[in-house]
Amino acid sequence: MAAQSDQNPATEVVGDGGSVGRTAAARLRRVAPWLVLGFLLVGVVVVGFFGRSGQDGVALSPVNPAPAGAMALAEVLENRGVEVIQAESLEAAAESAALGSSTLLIHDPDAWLSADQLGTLAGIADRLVLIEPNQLMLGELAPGIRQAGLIPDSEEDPLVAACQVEDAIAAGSISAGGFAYRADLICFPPATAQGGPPSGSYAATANQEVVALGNGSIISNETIDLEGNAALALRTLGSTPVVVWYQPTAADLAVGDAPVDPLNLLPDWVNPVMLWLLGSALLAVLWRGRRLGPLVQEPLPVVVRAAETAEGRARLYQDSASIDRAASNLRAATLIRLATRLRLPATGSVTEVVHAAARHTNRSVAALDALLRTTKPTSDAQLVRWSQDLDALEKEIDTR
Amino acid sequence: MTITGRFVLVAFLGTLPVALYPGAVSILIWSGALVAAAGLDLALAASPRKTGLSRELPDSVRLTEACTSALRVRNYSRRRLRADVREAWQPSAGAVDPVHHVSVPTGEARQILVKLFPERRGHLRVEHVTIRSFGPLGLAARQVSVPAPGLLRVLPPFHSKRHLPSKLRRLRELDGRAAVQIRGAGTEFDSLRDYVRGDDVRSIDWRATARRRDTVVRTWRPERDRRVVIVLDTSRTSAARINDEPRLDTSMEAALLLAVLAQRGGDRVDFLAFDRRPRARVDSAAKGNLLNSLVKAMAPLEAELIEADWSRVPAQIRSISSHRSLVVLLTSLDSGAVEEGLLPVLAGLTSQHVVVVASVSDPRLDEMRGERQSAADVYRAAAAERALLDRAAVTAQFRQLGAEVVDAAPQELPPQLADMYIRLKAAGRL
Repeated sequence: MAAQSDQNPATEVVGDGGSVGRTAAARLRRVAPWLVLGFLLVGVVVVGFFGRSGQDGVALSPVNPAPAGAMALAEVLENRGVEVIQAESLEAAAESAALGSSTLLIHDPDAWLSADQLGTLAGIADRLVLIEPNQLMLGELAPGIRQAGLIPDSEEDPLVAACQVEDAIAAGSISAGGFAYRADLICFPPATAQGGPPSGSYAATANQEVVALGNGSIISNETIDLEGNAALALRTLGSTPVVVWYQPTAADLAVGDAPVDPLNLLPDWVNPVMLWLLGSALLAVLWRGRRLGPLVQEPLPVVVRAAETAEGRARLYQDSASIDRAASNLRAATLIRLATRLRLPATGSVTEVVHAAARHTNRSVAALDALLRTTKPTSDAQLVRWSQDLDALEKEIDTR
Repeated sequence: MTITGRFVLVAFLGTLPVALYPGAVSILIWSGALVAAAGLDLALAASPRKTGLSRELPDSVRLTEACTSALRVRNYSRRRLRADVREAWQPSAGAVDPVHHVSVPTGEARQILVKLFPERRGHLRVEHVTIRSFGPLGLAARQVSVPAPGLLRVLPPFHSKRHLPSKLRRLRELDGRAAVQIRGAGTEFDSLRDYVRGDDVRSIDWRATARRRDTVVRTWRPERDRRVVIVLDTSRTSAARINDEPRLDTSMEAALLLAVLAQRGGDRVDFLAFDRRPRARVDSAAKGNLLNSLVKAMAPLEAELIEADWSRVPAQIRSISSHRSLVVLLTSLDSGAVEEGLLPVLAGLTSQHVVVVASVSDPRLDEMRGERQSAADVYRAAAAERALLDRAAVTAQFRQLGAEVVDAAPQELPPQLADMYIRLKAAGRL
């Protein structure tokens, strides 16, 4: 049929009734939840980054309120008019300590500092408090103090001062643990010490300018309120108006040890060009990603193959091994077709079909009777063979 | 808005200055220049909202035929419109070139021709037209999707038309011959002619013979102005695909051939598509070309995924024709659906009308029947035999109730149904 032209003059459509402002507003409304989510995320990150109020998670740090930190001691010192300066680096520590009358606290459990670096700290402060110092540190900063092994775990009772140092006498006793040292002045000796030169958890040079505290945990937030821990810590650190609290980090490693960063070898322009190429790639994504209008729906038709029910029934036969049923279907269909082919009435019996078929073919009545009437396949293999025989018989009669 | 490939290229060229003068300054200058150029381009682009769109579509097109959608783009803005225009036809409309580039001066109009090769029968739609209007620099573009709905009616292909000439010839032969051989009860007097040997002596008109010297016989022609009611089943069984064509579409082919043939044979044809309620109806009393109104009524029909309610069909047929008619039911012979639906009402129908049940059979079943290589094949063959036996049983039941059954493969159904009509007409059973 020839396509007929539409009778009505086509009506003209102008615009979609919107405007730039409205489109922008609609877009904004659509992305608003994501924007809000993004701002929230950025906000959380910013607050998390800056809002920690200088706290960190370092053990015995003056700004760590956790049990392992030492913020309690630092706060009490501050309240008593002692300025606590947390030194971020070796230079800062040396600078702060050199300013005036100060106590320099060094806590370096990971032994970041080299002997040379330690040497620069010697003698710059009025008092040096070493928390759990190692042999290297003692050798550079306090030649008179030596390590004397661990205070054994079996030491459960608090250690008693047992010396003439005022600070220690005021404290009375402190928690046991950590290291023991030998020096001119030693306090809090382990009760279980057996023989040998005397050692103690508190060791100091004769002029008390260098003090080694063998048990760092006595200044930690968790245990500072036990025994005389607080008294010892406050008296040891609070004797000068300034305490420089220095905990070396990986950044303090001697420069010569750091491997050369291969990125530093690249020319200056690589990073900006990379950034620019990234921006260009994003633009390319925008360019290719913008569709020319929304997607169009296609109402899809139902797809049902008509033979599906038969296929399903075949599966059922096979899964339930219904050989009898399958055989009777095949037999009935063959008989009906043969009856039609041999001009027999549809109501005829099987025997009539057998005889008529025998007349049409060279096969014996007995063989045909066995094939069409009596054979009952009992396995899949027999069923296949028998059904092929039926098919062959039908074809034989068809061709005659 | 959107950016173009040219914008991306210019941005990419910015790599050079950034490499030569590394640093924030070169990046900022180049980015600023890009943004400024894109902004200028956007400001100078013609507004896609000031574009008039009107479309001319053919009223209808037959499936397998191509057609053209003509979209006129008129520029009402004060700037020249350079734009990509896309007609968003649904995919089955088979738009070959939906995107066109146009350049329209102010106040003028251009026509875009989009070639369509519909792949499906039915109502195919286009909902909107997208205009992407580029600026003079070609760096950025404004984009708007304008709702401009259009509808293309894709009619059934009527492939079975090729059978029409041969069937019409047989029908014409019938005109002259039927009364000679058959003395049906309902035949109509046509004319008188001389007796020739072989004519039935009972058809000799003695009064006319007395007036003339020669023996004169009456001739009859097949009855005219009989009613043919074609009922197309659009229920779930019509969705099944046979040879990758839904049963519904094959049935339509058969219905179209029968309708055209019956109309040429002088009968009045009514068409009804039905599942639980009438989906389409073409009245024999309506004016205009029957074939046209039939294909238009059939075009939007889809198989509904519900069970047909055959108990309402007799009332529907009665409302179409109160006289004895030829009722052709185009449905399926699947045993389950038919036994519960059609079988109970068929007896009532056959008592009033001549009923023909036409159904598409599945050649796949015959294929399955013949394959007997493995156990799985044989079980499939057995299932196919069962389906065919059930079909044969339903057919036999229908015949017992006095209905005629035409059960044929998709290609064969239209001519066989036409043959059935001619046979009934020849037998004077209409």
